[in-house]
Amino acid sequence: MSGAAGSGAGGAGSAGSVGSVVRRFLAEYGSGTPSRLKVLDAYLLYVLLTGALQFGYCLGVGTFPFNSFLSGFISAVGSFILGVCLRIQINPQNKGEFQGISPERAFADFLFANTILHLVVINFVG
Amino acid sequence: MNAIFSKKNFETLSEAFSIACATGALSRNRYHLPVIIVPEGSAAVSHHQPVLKLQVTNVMSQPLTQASVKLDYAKSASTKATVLQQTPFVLSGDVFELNFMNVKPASGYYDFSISVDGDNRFIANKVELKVKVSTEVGITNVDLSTVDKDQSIAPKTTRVAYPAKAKGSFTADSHQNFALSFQLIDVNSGAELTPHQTFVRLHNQKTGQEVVFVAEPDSKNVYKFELDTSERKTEFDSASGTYTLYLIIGDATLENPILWNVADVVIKFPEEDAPSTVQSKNLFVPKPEIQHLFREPEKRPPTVVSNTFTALILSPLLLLLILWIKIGANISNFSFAPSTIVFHMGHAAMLGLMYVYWTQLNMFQTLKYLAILGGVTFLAGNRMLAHKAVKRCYKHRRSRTSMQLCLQDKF
Repeated sequence: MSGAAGSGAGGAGSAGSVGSVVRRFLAEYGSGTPSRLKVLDAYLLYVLLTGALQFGYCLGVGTFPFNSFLSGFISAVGSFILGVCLRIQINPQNKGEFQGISPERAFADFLFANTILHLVVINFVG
Repeated sequence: MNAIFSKKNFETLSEAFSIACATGALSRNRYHLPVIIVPEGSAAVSHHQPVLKLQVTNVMSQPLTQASVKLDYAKSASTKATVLQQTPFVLSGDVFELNFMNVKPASGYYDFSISVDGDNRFIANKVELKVKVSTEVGITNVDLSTVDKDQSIAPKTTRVAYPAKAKGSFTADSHQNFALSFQLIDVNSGAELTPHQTFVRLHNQKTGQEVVFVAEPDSKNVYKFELDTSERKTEFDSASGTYTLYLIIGDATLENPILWNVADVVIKFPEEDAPSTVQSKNLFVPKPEIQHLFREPEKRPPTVVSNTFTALILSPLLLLLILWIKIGANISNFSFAPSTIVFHMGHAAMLGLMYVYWTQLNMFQTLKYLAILGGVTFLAGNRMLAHKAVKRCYKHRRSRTSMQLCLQDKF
């Protein structure tokens, strides 16, 4: 994301604190990112939080139905990875690296891979 | 032929008739006559029964009195030495006989090879037979002695003759051992024998305990048995007292197994090992009951905790919806084309199938339904996304090549 690269260079140049870097980054992100990518980013954040909560619960109360924990956690991790892949492929700034894969094709791949992942997850959750 | 005669009982009369027909054909034809050779009684000879009798018949159990039966060879099973060869059997009535004891064989097992001739049509007319020669055993040179452990006093030896019992009793205690030696010979030939069972049994008259030992032969075939009280006190449970001593001799080739009360032995064990009461080990009372411990179920968190977690896990979903609304995601571009509707219905149906798979189905059924729904959804989705691509590249509609390039995303 060029917004992040720009803010990284600006932050290193000034002797600012972490807070000013973060604020700069958020400002660049809000203005420079197409809303389609922002929708995807919200989805990724949701999946991340869900996975982290599952892991924290498992640490707290133990791994009794271990297969259930594993299937939920892998679902979260797998969805996150697929979402990241979709984001990379859709991003217009990456067009040079993905010649021949239209955004529609990327979305179809995303749906197909998710179907297979959730088939396996539901099989394993028990 | 084995296939015809493999069953002994028949369920239907027609089956029995067929077998009888086959048997008749096999005993009356011009080509082959199977011969059956079976010893009459058991295949054993001895001095009382020196003649080996054979029944030689065809498959209808008719004796073949015209045949000539011959012993090809008889070999001892243990030494493989040929004892007799090329001797004919004598026909007596319907049975062929041979007096095997004429060659004075030693006792044991012999392999006989017998052939039946006389007719070119005979087949299966050579057999191998195992014959047992049994004999009677005699015990000689039975010596009972008490041997002093320190070897200071000479051993006192008493000779006993079978079947008498030794007079007086013998003592075995901490400074004397009791010893027994004897020899076993074949009564008829005088050769030494080594039967399979040579046991010395000591029976406590008061408690009913019995202990059995094996007497082993030495290099000269003299059997020896020695009782050392300090070595053997575990077998006796250290119970002192008077024991009757029996000698047990047995073998498959002996006609007269022997159980002989030889003497009485007083065995004294050192006092400190004597058990307070002698328990008879009763093996046939019910044993104490074993309680089965079922596996402890795993520890689970209380329901409150897991319900709280379930509510908690839905909160990121709420956050997601709020963020989406904030960013401005909308469905304003939703075109009500049939492919779009079919795609969304198909996709929703696939998600519903996942839920049903979790609750009810197995993998195979799910794959079947998934293939159908997935195929439909795929076709509709393909159509829908193609429309979207066209809409996206609408601005290039003027030029054909640039439209194509845009559609293939090669821009």
